[in-house]
Amino acid sequence: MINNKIEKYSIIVLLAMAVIYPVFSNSYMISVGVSILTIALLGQSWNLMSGYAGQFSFGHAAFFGVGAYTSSILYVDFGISPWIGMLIGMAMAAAVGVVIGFLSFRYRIKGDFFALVTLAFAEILRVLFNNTKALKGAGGILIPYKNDWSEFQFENDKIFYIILLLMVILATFVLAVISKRKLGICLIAIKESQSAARSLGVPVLKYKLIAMAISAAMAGMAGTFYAQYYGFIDPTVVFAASISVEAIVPCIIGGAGTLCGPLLGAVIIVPLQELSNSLFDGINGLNMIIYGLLIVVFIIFCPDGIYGTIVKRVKGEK
Amino acid sequence: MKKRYFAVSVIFTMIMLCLTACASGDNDTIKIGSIHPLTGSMAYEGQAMVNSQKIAIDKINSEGGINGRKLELVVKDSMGTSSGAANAALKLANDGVIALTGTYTSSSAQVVSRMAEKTKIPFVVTVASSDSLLKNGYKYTFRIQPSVSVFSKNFLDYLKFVKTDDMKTVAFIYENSNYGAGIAEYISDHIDETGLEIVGMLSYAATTSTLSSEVTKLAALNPDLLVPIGYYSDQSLLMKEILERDIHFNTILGCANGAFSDAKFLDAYGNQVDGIYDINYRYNPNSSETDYLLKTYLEEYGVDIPVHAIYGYESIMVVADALRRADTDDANSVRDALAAADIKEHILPQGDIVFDESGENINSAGVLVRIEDAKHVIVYPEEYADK
Repeated sequence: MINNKIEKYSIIVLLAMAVIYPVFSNSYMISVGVSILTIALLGQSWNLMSGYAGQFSFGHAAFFGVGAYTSSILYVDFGISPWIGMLIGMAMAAAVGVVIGFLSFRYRIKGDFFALVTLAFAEILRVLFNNTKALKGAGGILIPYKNDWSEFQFENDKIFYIILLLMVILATFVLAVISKRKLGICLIAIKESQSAARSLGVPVLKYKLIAMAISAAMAGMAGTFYAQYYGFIDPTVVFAASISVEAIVPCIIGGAGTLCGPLLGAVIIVPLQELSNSLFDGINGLNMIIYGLLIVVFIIFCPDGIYGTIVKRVKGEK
Repeated sequence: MKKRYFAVSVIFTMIMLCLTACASGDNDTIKIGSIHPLTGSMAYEGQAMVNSQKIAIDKINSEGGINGRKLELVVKDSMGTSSGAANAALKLANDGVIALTGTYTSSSAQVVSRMAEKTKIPFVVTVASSDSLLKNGYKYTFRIQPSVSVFSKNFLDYLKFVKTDDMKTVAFIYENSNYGAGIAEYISDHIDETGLEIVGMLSYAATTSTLSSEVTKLAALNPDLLVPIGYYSDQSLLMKEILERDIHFNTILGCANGAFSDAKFLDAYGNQVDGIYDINYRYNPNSSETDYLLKTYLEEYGVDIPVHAIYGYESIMVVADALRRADTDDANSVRDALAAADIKEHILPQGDIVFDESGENINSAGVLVRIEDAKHVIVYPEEYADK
């Protein structure tokens, strides 16, 4: 399941860090930890569809938002526990993913144009939710705050942290399993050359849609968590382009198409952003500039991401 | 080998702990947290809010502080996002602030409100108008400014000062978020009370770069009364479009319009916008404290104070008032003192500042302003009419 030694060590170190972290943390640091894990989960979601299968998405906010809205509407209007809502939300997000994928692939949209289509769908959903009263419109949805585990609400943020950690572990596990199975190998083949894969008998459309569905379900899961943790969603929050960006950036920094890349990326960018936010208090936006510069630097000098580069180096030295 | 993983993990974790935990300042000051968008599309508004809060802090400190202790404003950027606002709130809570203030956007306010409840630190809203904000049953959130429904009720109430006998039709053009759509929908649900007929409800996204087709539609509808609701940049764009195309509307009455009540708007359009009305928050021009705030803001920042920023100043004054009355200076006593507030001396055009059970300022109200000779003149309520 684990591909090599570096991967094994990285996973162990990252996991140990994640487990030790809450022991020493105060509420603020738990909150930062939640941000890190949210981005890690979104990153893994993006990683499957774009890193492994090579179908670049700029619109992961669509799946994230659908997940958040499904569980929240079911909870607020129908009293269905968000735990169940989360599963339904994941199914809905997967369905949206399959629809977007089918429409795009059916009309042979690929590469940059596919990315633009996903972006457009996320925007369409944002506008749709914003202007549809039955979907709560621009006012958004408020999740009542209580302390009841059966309703996915905890007074103690550490429990939220642990649940999110389990989600990230689950997503990483799913990715690890897929990458070892036929599906994963075929996805990588599709990424390398779609026509070559097809000529060898890989059912390209089917596998791409499966990858999209699983990826979208992961993002939907993150969406439900987000709604339950922050307690408020509206279309501008969950369908925001910034959510789509948050899915991509950890992969670029850490390394797309690798198991640990997005995790490592998330562990680096969030603390960096928080740190630059605290250190340069009087200078607004410096953290954004650092963030932007970092991405530019990585794309130029480290296109495989930190993890990808390390792997290459080590392999090269051997 | 296993020991090595463990050692590496511990070192990494320690580094991260050091990165995220920042040392707090000295203990002699009383800290108040401020969470506003200081980057992104709302940065101008957020910064103005912080500026006016600083003026309030300096004023209190120059008068000797609270019981001999100085106030300190700890500012955090919400980045306009939920996670940014939550992280900022919890960071401030850990730094030992006795109150949080913020956040200009309603979605951030919802998140901070929840974090305030969890950490048991009172949260005084500077500006966030969503009605649902105080419907959570929370005990730690207080709001000074008028909500969406207050503005809407003011609109229905004050309309009589604008309405003429031959005014029959009305059209709304509003930005489609919580605030613009919220007000437009509330008013349209109650339009029967006014005797007007709605001929158009046009919404647009606040981030739009053109309102050309909307203006074309409005020109075709030609309503007797046009009601624009939105933020500064989009409403300014709307007015530019209307003026450039030389379209004349009988009466224009904004509601909580981010542009019409702003001094910058008058600088940009001068006499061209004379006759426009707006129902909005505003300072009480007859208070001496207002003069101080306006003068100091202009001196320190080189521009007239944007009208929303008065709530930044007042939020600090409200917290300071609570601190003076609180038994101790911990967050819980400040919360209890806030709940018992009855502030008579303030800069708002309303009666005493008193909070109800949900934390809403029961006397909050907007005023009706008319632009005359490139100046804002309060038309109603009369006791706040400009000197």
